Amino acid sequence: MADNLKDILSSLSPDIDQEMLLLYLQNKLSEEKRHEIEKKLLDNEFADDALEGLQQFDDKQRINLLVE
Amino acid sequence: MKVEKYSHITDQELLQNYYSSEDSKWLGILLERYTLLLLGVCMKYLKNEEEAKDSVQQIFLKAITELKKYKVEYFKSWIYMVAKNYCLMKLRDRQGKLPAELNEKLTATADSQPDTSTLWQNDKTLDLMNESMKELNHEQRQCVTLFYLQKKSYHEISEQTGYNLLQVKSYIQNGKRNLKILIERKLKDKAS
Repeated sequence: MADNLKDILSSLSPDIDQEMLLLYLQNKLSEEKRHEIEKKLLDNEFADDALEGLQQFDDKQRINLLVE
Repeated sequence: MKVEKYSHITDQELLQNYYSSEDSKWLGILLERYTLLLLGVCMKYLKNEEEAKDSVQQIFLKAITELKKYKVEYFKSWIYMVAKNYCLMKLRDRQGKLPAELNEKLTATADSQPDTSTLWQNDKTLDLMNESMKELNHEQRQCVTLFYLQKKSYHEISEQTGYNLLQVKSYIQNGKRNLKILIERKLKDKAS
């Protein structure tokens, strides 16, 4: 439990894989994986901003085509 | 996303390769890592798919020009700042003036978070954490507990509590921030 609590105080900016973010966006991850991404997003302002924007795309399945 | 064979190379190394070889291939790999994030950031501020896509290209060009002129150390925070400034400029062009709330958000510094890694070197912190948890309001305590201790996703927490996803996220964010403040205050009180 101490380890879990430790996460609350972390202020590192963890990297988030683009691929994972895309899968998160497309609702293709398990709840467990979703939690992991969400935890990283709380400490990564860049990715958190990005996710907020990406959620506004009409067709989320097509977003990967936009970045290739 | 087709650059996996370079995934073992850090941003910093890619930049160094670029600076020493002047081969723009290295910059290309680096920028490609951030395409999706940049697209998202542009969309968040500009709220227009075409304009967001176009802006990513403009930000790439800007980055290439600027990186030739200056040595950048922390690429990730730097490109994030370049992107936000670019969007800010676009919004100014678009509407003459900016809503105050957005302006404030865009000008906030990237590194405003205090470094709390040292907090855990203090043995008392765990006790203080449990103590502080009780001082959070009900919603924040409930969401922080479900998220950090029970490792639930926002979606699961939302289903269990009836709060919507935005509420869940904000209770966790605020709960987390309040916990840090409470603990720092308690540590300071003990020290004095």
